[in-house]
Amino acid sequence: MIVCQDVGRRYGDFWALRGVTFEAGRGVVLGVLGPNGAGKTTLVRILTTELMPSEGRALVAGFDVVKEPEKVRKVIAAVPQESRPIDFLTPYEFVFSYLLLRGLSLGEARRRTREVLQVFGLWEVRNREVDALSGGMKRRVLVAAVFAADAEVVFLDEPTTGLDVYSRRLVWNAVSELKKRGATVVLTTHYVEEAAALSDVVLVLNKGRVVDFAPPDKLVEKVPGRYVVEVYGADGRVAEGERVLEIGGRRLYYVEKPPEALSLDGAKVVVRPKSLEDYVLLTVGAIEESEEGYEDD
Amino acid sequence: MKTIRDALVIAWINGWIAATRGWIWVIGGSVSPVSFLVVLAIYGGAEGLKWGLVGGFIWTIASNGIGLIGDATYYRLGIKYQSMLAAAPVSPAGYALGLALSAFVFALPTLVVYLVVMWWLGLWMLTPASLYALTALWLASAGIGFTLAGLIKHMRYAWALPQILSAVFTVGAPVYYPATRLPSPYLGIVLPTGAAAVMIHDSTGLIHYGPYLTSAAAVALALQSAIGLYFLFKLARWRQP
Repeated sequence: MIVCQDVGRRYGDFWALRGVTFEAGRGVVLGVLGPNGAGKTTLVRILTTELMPSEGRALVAGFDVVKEPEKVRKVIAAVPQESRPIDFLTPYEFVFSYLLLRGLSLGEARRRTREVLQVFGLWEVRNREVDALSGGMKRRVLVAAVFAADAEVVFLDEPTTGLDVYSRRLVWNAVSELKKRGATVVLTTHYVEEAAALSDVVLVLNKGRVVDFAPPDKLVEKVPGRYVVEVYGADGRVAEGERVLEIGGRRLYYVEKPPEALSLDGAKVVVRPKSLEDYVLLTVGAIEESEEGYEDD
Repeated sequence: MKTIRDALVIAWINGWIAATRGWIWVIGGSVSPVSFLVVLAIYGGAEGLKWGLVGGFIWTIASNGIGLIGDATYYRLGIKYQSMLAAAPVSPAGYALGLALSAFVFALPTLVVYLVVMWWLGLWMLTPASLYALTALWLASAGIGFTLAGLIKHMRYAWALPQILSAVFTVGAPVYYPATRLPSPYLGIVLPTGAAAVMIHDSTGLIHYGPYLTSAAAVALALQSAIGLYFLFKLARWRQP
């Protein structure tokens, strides 16, 4: 459903994306992880035909994004990063007009708008202007519109950033439902646990390059040990780990067995099973602004 | 057909709904031409009022296209609505024409008032020549507006640019004054507002320029609207190169 072969994008001398190669099939949720400036949004913009790649080839639903953009646009839908619905419209008007613009008939657009607003818990506020809605509701309006489009490939670029726990789960439900319908979902996110919970396969990007491409559990297997002892505010080494990661005053010990007794005065200690977050911490490093990052990402 | 349908949907949400929920924008759009009208009426009497009405009408039509710079930039950079439509089967030309059409919806009450006052003063604006000039002007300014909007990199420029363009297009061209005041009246048809004004001034009887200048204005306006449409359909694409 999505094929990328050596896709790259250059801004002057700076490569925002380079040598990106992967394939994702039908009905797959592809999580795209990486720090700011990693190239996530650049990749999404190329795949949604909004940005021309400088090199390489990309196919979406069998169509070339450079040579057949009109065909690609018929089968995709996207919630762009930092997007907001038009503030003076109501959720009903926004979703309804989006469906009309996608070419649906008036009757079908009405039916789907009603259905999707109910699914996303927006039916009660359907006639209230978007401006008066909470941030979470505004985001849900966007996801609802894309959900109603019934596209073959759906791009969600950081759809849950800033959402409360309830709204996040409604978005997660939508992703699961899209997958059930057979749609391929490309989900870029900063929330590693979100990518782990929803993705069938994860593409890890850093500084425009592919770091890894595998199912979340395969990535977690690459983390040494089985448990993580996370200690903050203690001087010196407090446990023997297969690997130790220091982040400021915090130490993460990757161990086979959780320690039986750890008594450290004034220190915060958390013992937990290793996760995808540990993989990202160990391979990519800090989720922070890349010095060379392009504004897209 | 899809392009027309897209334009109508955009005009519905960005024009009709916006205008009916925010009358302040309808009034805001008419303030500048009306203020010119008042000044001309004070200093020029009934004759000045006629020039002010015709000039204001032309300004209002031109500002439909120029004014879409603000909306198009806001939708592209401010809320990323354009990115959402770029990833959908929506025609860029339909989107751009819809934005221009929505600005026309905003201007409609003002234009109706102008027409009524012009009719009362004995000026008949709706001649074939004037209608051609106004349509071509609308297309040319929409093309210029949408293309320029695609080049803006920061939202703050979207507020300043239409003001500069409005001044250049309405004061720099013979919209409120006869083209004969210029060193050569043919200089007046360089900008689409001036070319449209020459045709409308002549067809409404405000001043008679003669067949050569009005024909040249009609040709210039056809070229300008063709260039505007070329930009709209060919260059103002969704995709960033």
